[in-house]
Order: sequence, then structure tokens, then C-alpha cells
Amino acid sequence: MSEDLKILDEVTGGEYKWGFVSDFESDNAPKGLSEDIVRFISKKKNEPQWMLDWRLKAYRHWLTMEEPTWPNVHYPKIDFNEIIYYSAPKAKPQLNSLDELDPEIKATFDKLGISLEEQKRLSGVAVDAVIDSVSVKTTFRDELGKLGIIFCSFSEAVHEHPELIKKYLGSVVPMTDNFYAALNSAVFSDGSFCYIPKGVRCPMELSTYFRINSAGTGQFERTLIIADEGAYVSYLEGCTAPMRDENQLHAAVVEIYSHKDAQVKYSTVQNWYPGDKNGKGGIYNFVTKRGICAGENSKISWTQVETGSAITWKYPSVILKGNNSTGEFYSVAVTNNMQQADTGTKMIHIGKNTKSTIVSKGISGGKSNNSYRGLVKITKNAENARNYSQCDSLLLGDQCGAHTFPYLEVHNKSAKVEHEATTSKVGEDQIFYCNQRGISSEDAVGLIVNGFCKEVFNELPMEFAVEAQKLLAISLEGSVG
Amino acid sequence: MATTVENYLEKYSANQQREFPLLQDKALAHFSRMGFPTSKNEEWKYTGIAPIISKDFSFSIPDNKCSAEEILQRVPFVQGSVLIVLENGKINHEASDLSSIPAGLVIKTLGEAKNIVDVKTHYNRYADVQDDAFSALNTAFANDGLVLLIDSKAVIEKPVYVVQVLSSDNVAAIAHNRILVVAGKNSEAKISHLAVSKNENTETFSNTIIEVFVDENASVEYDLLQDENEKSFQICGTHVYQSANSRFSINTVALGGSILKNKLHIKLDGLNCETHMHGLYVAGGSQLIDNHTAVYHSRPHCNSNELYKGIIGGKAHGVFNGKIFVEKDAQKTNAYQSNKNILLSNDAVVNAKPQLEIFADDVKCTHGATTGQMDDESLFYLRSRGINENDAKAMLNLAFANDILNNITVEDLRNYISGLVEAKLKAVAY
Repeated sequence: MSEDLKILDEVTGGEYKWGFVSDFESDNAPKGLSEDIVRFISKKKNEPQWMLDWRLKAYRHWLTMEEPTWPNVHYPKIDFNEIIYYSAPKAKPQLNSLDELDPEIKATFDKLGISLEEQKRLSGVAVDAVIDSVSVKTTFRDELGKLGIIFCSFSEAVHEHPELIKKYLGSVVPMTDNFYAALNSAVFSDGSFCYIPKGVRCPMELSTYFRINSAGTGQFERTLIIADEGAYVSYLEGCTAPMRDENQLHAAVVEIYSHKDAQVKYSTVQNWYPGDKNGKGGIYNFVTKRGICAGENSKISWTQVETGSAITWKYPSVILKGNNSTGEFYSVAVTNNMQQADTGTKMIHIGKNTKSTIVSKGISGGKSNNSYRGLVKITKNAENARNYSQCDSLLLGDQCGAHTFPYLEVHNKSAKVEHEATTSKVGEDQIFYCNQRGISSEDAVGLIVNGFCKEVFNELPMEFAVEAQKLLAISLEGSVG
Repeated sequence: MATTVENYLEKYSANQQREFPLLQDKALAHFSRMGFPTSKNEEWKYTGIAPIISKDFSFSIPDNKCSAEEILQRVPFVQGSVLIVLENGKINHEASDLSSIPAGLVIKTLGEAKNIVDVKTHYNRYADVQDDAFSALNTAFANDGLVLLIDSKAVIEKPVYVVQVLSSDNVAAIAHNRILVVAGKNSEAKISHLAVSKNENTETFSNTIIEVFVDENASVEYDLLQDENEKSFQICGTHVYQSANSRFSINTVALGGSILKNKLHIKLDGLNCETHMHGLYVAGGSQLIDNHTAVYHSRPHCNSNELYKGIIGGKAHGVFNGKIFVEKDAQKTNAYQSNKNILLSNDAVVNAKPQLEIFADDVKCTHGATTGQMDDESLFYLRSRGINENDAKAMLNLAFANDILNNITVEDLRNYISGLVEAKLKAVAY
């Protein structure tokens, strides 16, 4: 109970508590988007010609595409020429120890509670912290290096491992995939790269903290994770962002490539600034995340806790190409006030005996709208494919909406596809039960909501689960009771 | 494609005789604005209608009316009941049996009824003419049609049979069928609608709109059997409006047709409404059967219950899309929706999309969808008792279908449909 009381304390005290702007100089590109900007970004990052060509190709393709309008979210039209596409913390010297880190940046981390030293010492998590767009500090590099694991910023990988980047970049999410993926391919600033060699089990959880820092900067992260045969990695991504009035666009791309017998577990806690109570400000989170189980017996698991962003629009997907491969998707999406979320997953079954599990929990409060949109596709040759989907929605208040749009496309008779969805509110009988036992209504709602999400939280790594529980409570502030 | 739209526009101006000139002109304007839907339209994502719209259907069908005997031969069990034959969109009085209309039931053609207050109030009020090209087309062309008025407090115990038939012999023909049912306060009725073809080999296109108004405390059961020939195209829109304390139940059995698309919209606009929707579709060969349903809960304390089942074999394609909308005021709603499909072959396809859109917090809404195959253990049980594999499968499939058929309370009709389903299942499975 003490943990829950603490949550409530924070809840009642809480404006967005991670809203602050740190004051270090940014090295910004001029506003707007053109071929010159693409060249500028590429030059800034000292990229080889092939990388620039790839970006330009993506940019030219992007010009031919139209902004999609089908999701169940509403926002003023984005002016792509009003966005700054590149911003880096100023001239970054190569750092060997944390002491050399810019004190401002370090303070930012401390405010976030990341505290690299502590993380390093206590939890054994290697952190590749990304502020705005350039990777500032990668820890545990050496230790991982001994096992042959490559965990570095994307731009370093372009220089140091061009053969891997050339082979895998765009292999899961092609540059032509969709409007925002194309945009990202053209202007992505940095991101993380991770390669786990054959048969290696990554001994620690790899973690990246993302922050959007400079006002008016779109953050275009690119993450590429490759698990070679028999490898295993658990990858964590967590985000907080400072308070802003302008809407900021975040269009990231995450690609996961899982070879034979490999397993990748990808967990996200997303807590970007959701805008104020009237829906002013907040971040647009339009992300393309996709993994491919390319080899036999491979597995990809997505776990996400989405509490932030004015608009969340993403569908972490798995292409189950290898026989006996497994895809999982566990999600908690919380929307409050004026937030909107249209999220879900796609499971494309291609190989034989492929399995997928989808558990999605949506909680809406205030005047928010929360949609689950998912596709389960069993192709003709996917013998004995199995899918189980469950999406539950919880409504807190009568001003919000919950929507479910599952698509089930089955082309094979041996497939078993199940989908279940429920929508309900916190039961009066449940609250009464708690009241009876001396638990106040607010505490009771906290308990019940956390219980509602338990299935998903159980999938999160320990540290994340605790954080997620707190975030959930903070996000629901004002709608409880 | 544009030429076909123009084709319909020309056909419209060629015939100047109109019962509802204002409505019809307006509907045609909607149609010409929208044109035919493409697969980019979410409602038509899986249902390609190119074969329908590329064809130049004849609007005038040679006078070749069905006789009462022919109808009775096809559906013998209707003998002695109230029978209305809706042939090519018009009532065929010779083949109909209106000799024993019970008190409280009024049967009229649309033309005859157009000045009745109830008809003026309800006609074309529920069909989605501005959103759906085929609804607009129907409204523009439906000059004739069937009006069923059930007086307040009237309890019509025996079922009213409507046999809808397209009687073109050789010419590929189109018919716009229009049915309006107005059930007065505290009334009760059962309507059984059977859509058939006269000729098994003629390509036909029936574009049907059914509007049902259920007044307070009234109770209506609507059974719809779609068994037109294998070459036919059928698009059928059913639009129901329920007032407080009313009860409506619809059982749809879709068997025949090359492309068959049903759209069922039910609006619950009063307290304590009760709605049951049951549907069965059995498709084989290269059939496409598409069921789109939508329930709009606008008021509190209503219950809706939906179960659709599909058995798809051959290279057939089954589509299900069920929507439940719960509006802000509709607290204490209970809505249940379930869709279950069995695939019999690897060339068969099922696309299911159960959808919930909820804006009220104190509700219980669930939906479920499954696609799979027969339970191996059940099959084994039957096999171990000496039943051969084909028979065992047929039994299990029929049992699966019976969950739907058992909701048809008109016994004669249920037995008749059950026979058709059994025959169709045999044809589909092997």
C-alpha cells in the first residue's frame, strides 16, 4: 500500500514533473526541408556517400507521398517546412569518463533520475543516452565489446560497421514503407544500433533514454537491432520530454531483425509531454516499429507502456517469416485530458506453425480518445498458425472514448485465430469491496487500474515495471475518483 | 467506371414517372456525387464490385410473371399464410395470397401508401442515402415496393411471408426492391423475407433496401433468407429504428449469390430496447459474402446481442464487419458481439473486423471473433462411433449453423432453411 500512497501523493501534486528545459547550446539546422537540408545533415555527421544517396532517395520518394489521414486522431496539419530537422548538442569531444560530460547534460539526467553512475553501478544497465539527436554517452561499451556485441549510436555504426548497416538498413521498414518512415529515412539524425553475434546471450539489458530537448526540433531517431543466430537481447527504451507549447513531431523508425533461434525483447515506456489540460502543446508520436522473425524458431516481443504524447500513433509489428517463430505484443496505452492514441500491432504470419499473442489494455480518461487498431494476417501457406488477441478498454468518465478496430484476415484453413475485446468501467462493486476494507475510493481505483494492466506490466523488466506503475497513476491524475 | 454511373443516370432520366419525385431526384444527385465505391472505401475494402458495375443490366424485364404455383413449388410451406410476392421490385398481386390478412395489418404498394402519414414520416428516413451509393440508387429507382403497416396494439401471430423474386429469364436484369415496415405501439409481428431467383442461370442484380420502424413496446422478428442463384449479385441494406422498450430480432441466412453484401444498421433511440442479430453465411465456389452490421446505442439501458457465423469453403471469401457504437448518453448499455468462422479449404478467405466505438463509461461491451476449423476431438468422437468422416463433418457443421437457425421462431421456415443449409454444406465441403 505504501507504494500506492506514494503514487497518489505524486498524482495530487503533479503537473508534468519532467518538464524543464536544459540550457546548453544546440547546433541547429535552419528550419524547413529540402535536398540541401538532407545534404546538410549528412555532412554534419560526416557520412559516406552511400548513406547520403540512400537519404536522398528516400527524400525524393517522400516528395511523391501523401500524408495519411486514416487514423482515428485529429490534429492541425503539420507544416513540414516549419520544423528544424537537425539539432545536436554542441561540438562533442570524445569522452572517456562521465566526469567529462557537460555538467548541464549531466544535470538533465540527474533530474530525470537516470543517474548514469548509479545505473552503471547498481543495475548493470548499459545506457546509450540520446539527448536530442546525437548520442552523448555510451556506457558499458567495452564490456559488451568483449562478447562481440555492438551497441553504439547509429552514426558511429555507419562509420564503423558499414557492411552491417548496408545489409540491414531498410530491410524491415523500407524507405518507401509509409509517409513518416520515408521522412525519417531522409532526415534521421541519430539513434541506436545494436548487433548481437551468433549464439551470444546479451548479459544485461540494453537501454536508451530518449529526450526531445530543443524547441521546434523534430526528433527522427533510427534504431536498428540485429540478433544473429541463437542470440538473445532485451532492449529498453524510455522517454521523458520537457514542457513545450509548440507541437513537436517525433517520427522514429525501429527495425528489428531476428535470425534463426534468436530472441529479441523490446520494451518501451513512453512519457513524452502530453500537452496541458486543454490539449495545448504536446508531442506527436508517429512511429514505425517493425520486426522480422526471419529464421526458424525466432521470437520478437514488443512491450509498450504509452502514457505520454498528445498523439500516439504506432503499430509495433512482427513479420513471422521463419517456421515456428513467435511474435508477442503487450501494450498499455493510457490517455487523459485531450490525448489521443491510435495504437496496436500487426502480426503477419508467413511461416508454418507461427504463433502470435496480442494483449492490449487501453485506459481513457478526461476527454481523450484511445483506439486499438490491429491486423492479424494468416497467409495462405502459414499452416497451423495460431493467434490469440485480447484487447480490453477501461473508461474513466463519460467524456472519453474507446475504439477497437481489429482486422483479422485468414487465408489458411488450419489457422486458429481468436480475438476478444471488452470495454468496461471500474465496477462499483469492486470499489465497494475495497471501501469496505478501509481503502479509500482513490486508492481503490489505483489498485484496480494497476490490476487491469498487470498482465502487461509482468512482461516488463523489473525497474521498468515500477516506473510504469507510477507513470500510470500520474497520467490518470484528475480522472480518478 | 464513369460510364456506368452515367448509364444509370441516363436510365433515370429515360423514365419520368415518379412516385416521390423530390426524394428520388435528391437520391440520384447523391448517387451521381458519390459514384460507385472502390476498395479504398473502408466499407468496401474486401468487397470488389467491379463485376456488378461493369455490367449493363436491363431495367425492363419482359413480362413473364411468376404464377402462384411456381412460388408455392419453390416455398411450399407458405401455403395458407399471408404471402406477398415482390417480383422485380413490384408486388405481383396474382401470385400473392392476401385473402386472409389479419386485423391490424395493412399491406400496400409504395405508390398506394404514399399519402399515409406513417409512410410520409418514415419512408426513406433511415436509409443512408447520402453515404451509400447503392442506397441512393435504390431510392432513386424504387418507384414501387412493399409497405407493411402494423396498427398499434395489433398482434399478428402468424408470420407474414414476403417472397422476393427476380424473374428475368435470359436478360441480365436489375431490380430495386424496397420494403418499409412500420410497427405501431405495442404491436407484434413476424416477417419472413425470402429472396430467390426464378431462373437458376440468369445473371441478376437485386438492390434491396428494407426500412423497419419499431415503435414503443413493439416487437418485431425479421427473418431474411437470401437464396438467389449462383450468378446473382445482391446488395441488401436493412435499416432499423427502435423506440423505447421495443424489441427487434433479425435472423439473416445468406446462401446464394456470386457477390452478396448485407448491410444492417440498427439505431436504438429509446430506453430499454432489446436487439438480437443473428446471421449465418455459407459460401463455396468463388462466392463472396459480406456482412456489415452496425448497432448505434443512443440511449441508456439498451441491450444488443449479435452472433454471426460463417462456413467458407472452395475459393469463397467471407467478410464480416460488426460495429458497436455507444454514444455519450447511452450509459448502462450492454452490447455483445461475436463472429465465428470455419474455413474448409486453403483457398477460402475470411476477413473479420469486429469494431467497438465507445463514448460512455458505464457500459459493458464485448466482442469476440474466431476463425478456425472443426474441433478434432468432436470429429474423433463421432468417428469412433462409426460415422464416416464426411457425415461426421456435415453433422458438426450443421450443429455449428444451428446456433443461428434456432433463433428463427417460425418453425416451417426454420425447417425449410435448415434443409437448404444442409444441402449447401454438402455442396461446399467436398
